[in-house]
Amino acid sequence: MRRTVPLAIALIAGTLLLAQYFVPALYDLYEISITWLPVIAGVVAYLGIISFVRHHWIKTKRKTPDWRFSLVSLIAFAVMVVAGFWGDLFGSSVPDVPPTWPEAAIVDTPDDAGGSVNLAWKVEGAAGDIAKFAIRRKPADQGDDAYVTIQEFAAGANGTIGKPHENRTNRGEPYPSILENGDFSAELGNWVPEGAVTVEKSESMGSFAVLADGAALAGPTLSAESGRRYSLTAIARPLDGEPKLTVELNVGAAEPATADVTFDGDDWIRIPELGRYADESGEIRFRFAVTGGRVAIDDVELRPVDMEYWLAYADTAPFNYNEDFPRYGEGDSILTVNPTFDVTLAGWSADEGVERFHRTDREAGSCAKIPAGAALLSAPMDRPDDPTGQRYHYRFRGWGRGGGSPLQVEIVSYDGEGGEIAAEALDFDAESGWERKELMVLPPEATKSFRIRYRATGSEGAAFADDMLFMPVKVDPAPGVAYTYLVEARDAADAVLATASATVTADMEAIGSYQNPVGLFQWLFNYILVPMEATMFALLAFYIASAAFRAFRARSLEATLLLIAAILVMIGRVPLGDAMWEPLGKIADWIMTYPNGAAKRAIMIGVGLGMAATSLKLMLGIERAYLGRGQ
Amino acid sequence: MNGFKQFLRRVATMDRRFVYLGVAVFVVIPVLWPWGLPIRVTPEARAVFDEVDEATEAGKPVLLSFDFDPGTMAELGPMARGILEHVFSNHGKVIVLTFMPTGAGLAEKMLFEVANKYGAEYGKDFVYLGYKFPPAAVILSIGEDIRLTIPRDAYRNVPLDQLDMMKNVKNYKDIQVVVDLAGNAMPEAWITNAWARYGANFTMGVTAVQAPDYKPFLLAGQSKGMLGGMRGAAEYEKLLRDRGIYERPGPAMLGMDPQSAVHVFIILTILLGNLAYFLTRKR
Repeated sequence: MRRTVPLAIALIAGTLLLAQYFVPALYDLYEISITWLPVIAGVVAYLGIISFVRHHWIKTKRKTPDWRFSLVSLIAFAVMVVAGFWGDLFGSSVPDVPPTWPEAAIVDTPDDAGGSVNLAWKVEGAAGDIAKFAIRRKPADQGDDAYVTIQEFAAGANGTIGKPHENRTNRGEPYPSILENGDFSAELGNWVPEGAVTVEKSESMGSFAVLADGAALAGPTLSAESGRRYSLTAIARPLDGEPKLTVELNVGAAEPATADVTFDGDDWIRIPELGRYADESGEIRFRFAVTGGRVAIDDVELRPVDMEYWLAYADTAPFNYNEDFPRYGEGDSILTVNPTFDVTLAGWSADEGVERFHRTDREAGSCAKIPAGAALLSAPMDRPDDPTGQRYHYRFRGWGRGGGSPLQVEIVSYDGEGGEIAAEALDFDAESGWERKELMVLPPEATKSFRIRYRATGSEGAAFADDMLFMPVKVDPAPGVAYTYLVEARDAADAVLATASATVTADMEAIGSYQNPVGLFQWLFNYILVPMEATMFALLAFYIASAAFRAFRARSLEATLLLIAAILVMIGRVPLGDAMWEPLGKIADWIMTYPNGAAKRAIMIGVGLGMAATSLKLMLGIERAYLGRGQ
Repeated sequence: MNGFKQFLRRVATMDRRFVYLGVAVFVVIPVLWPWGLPIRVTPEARAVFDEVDEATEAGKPVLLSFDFDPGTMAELGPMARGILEHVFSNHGKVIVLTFMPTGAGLAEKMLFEVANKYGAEYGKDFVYLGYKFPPAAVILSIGEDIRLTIPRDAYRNVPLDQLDMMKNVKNYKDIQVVVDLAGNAMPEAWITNAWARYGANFTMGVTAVQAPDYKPFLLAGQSKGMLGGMRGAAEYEKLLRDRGIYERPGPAMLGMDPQSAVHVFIILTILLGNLAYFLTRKR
């Protein structure tokens, strides 16, 4: 029995799974097997765990040789079990999305619409019906006139939907409809007809109600729960004439919500969602009325909706200068006077000894050579007007080289009187080759003009400067600048129902930086497993080098061929091979493609045939070693 | 001559720690003073790049399988980062899963790091399915309906249909390309079950040691492209630099100098060992 059952399972399962490849009728079996396999594998994993613990427990208990390793294994297993089940101990084990958003501090406003600072708002229980939200922004030091609407989005019945990346909401699952017989499957049931209302059926739509010209259909009266918003949806279709459908929703003592629906074409349309907030418990009544023709109505749903919106506006979406602003051209530069020193140093104020220098180390051209202690100053550049009233950053990019003396580049800001008010610097090493470096500055508010100043700051030698750009860059919002954000909840008529505001300074350092999860599980993974595994694997390089040195000998023809091929592939597969002699890389590719490809194919085809034969032997019970204890 | 033979004899029997020291020196020198060796891009690396490019242009997701662990991270990590940067910089979509329990942490960290850098949104631009087991069943199930074995995502633990990006993803027909980055035999599982049975568009990145093993699959067209070892990753990074996605050399490009140096060192030790063997052996 112990052998017959496994053999029967192997035979039946193997035969059926093999047959499903060729017999379409057995395809369902294939799908079932796919879903069963993880379950079986899961059971096997548990068996493995039991076996592992048992094995090491016995070794530890009997103190067999190397029992200490078994003890360590058991302890490590226990720690991982704890970390697996309580991985969030000491902190979250998963990264937050988006991880860099600041904590939301909920602030209730007097009109019961709340907002949170730092670009995440919670709006709950707002009086009246919120039809949409608007997020507005102004520099904090400017008046309310400076507010600019940066986004508007609808507050839908089932959550607020805005543009991705810019706002996110979390409304959870919608509640089910509380209306019975909304699809008229039980005829008119508890609906209340006024005039000629019938229920018809079609193959595609099932049952639906038909309202004749002048007829109306009121839904059953339902109860409203205080503090909830109720949403009414339905689909409708004109049958003849040019009908107008009026939908009315009353919730408690609130003003009724109404919508007039006209039809363009004769297809089913979804009527605009009607919503009303229940200030207090009361009745919900709703009614459809038709004039000017006949109308079909179906799929009427009335559901409560949570009056809670989480708005998160990622205005400080992660950015970094290098990635987000790599593409700009020379045309954007406001440094237009002789930025390449092509012919002379004209337009630059140069100390004595500074000269135009012919470059031979890169492409033909010239640069400025600045002897140690000397400086070179550009002509003043007026700061361009910023029509948005928000501040631009300025980006410098240029080439420099030390020639015994370090080179310092300064972006100098001047006020309206020509006085120097700020300078930010960038340095090149004394012995560096030509390098292109960049510097981003946020000039003081009072800046009216800029100059670029090069200094050879060493005591000997010289430094060199060449091709540069200097341009305003719009970073929105600008890091380091305080903005006031205002979120407005508005009704359908655009009247503001509630507002919440927050003043935020976009912090460049904090933006875009990934925060590692800090939970126990992640900590063990990051600081125990990763270094240990990486170390183990890195040691291979040392062992391989040592083994190759000691054992890789050209003792026979085959070994010699292997050695030559190995050397060619080793050198041909690294860039040094290409740099030494270009054909080396191609020779390595040829070895990999032809001799290696041919041999591997032969081996793999052989293995494949062997696997097929072994599988057949297993299925037919010829191979029984897996059952254990002999044949 | 006798003196030289004596030297070779001593070399042949020298303590292995001198070899270790040599490896360390040949690694450290180019790390401290990089040479910036030029990198030639092979057709198989370009094919992987083009496949990812096509996916982002078509608006279909790339299925990226992180089948490696910290041991092979030096080779395969730069590939994964490069592909993620490529996808997100082109506003593409990516689905990430792993068949290695120890790959899950690496996948999650790298995915969220890069997604965060580009402001990608979870559920719309990327989805993390986590560690899955057993590979064959999961790979086959994706051919039928991914929900058969992966009903929920690993990050939010919600049904896949609640994630915008996954609403239209049922099987391989809805996935532009499968990229398997593996330090094990997983590419064979993908080729056998996804390519052969469902015609999935497949490419792979493997360690340098595995590259010869998987060359026949590449030659047979079962894999559209292949990134082999750190060199393959460096080629991908070179393409990213040419495209302007990487402004500076990536970790694999920087790794090419020490790798070249160590290869030269090993070749020199092999040659020296053989020289010592032939000149000092007793006939």
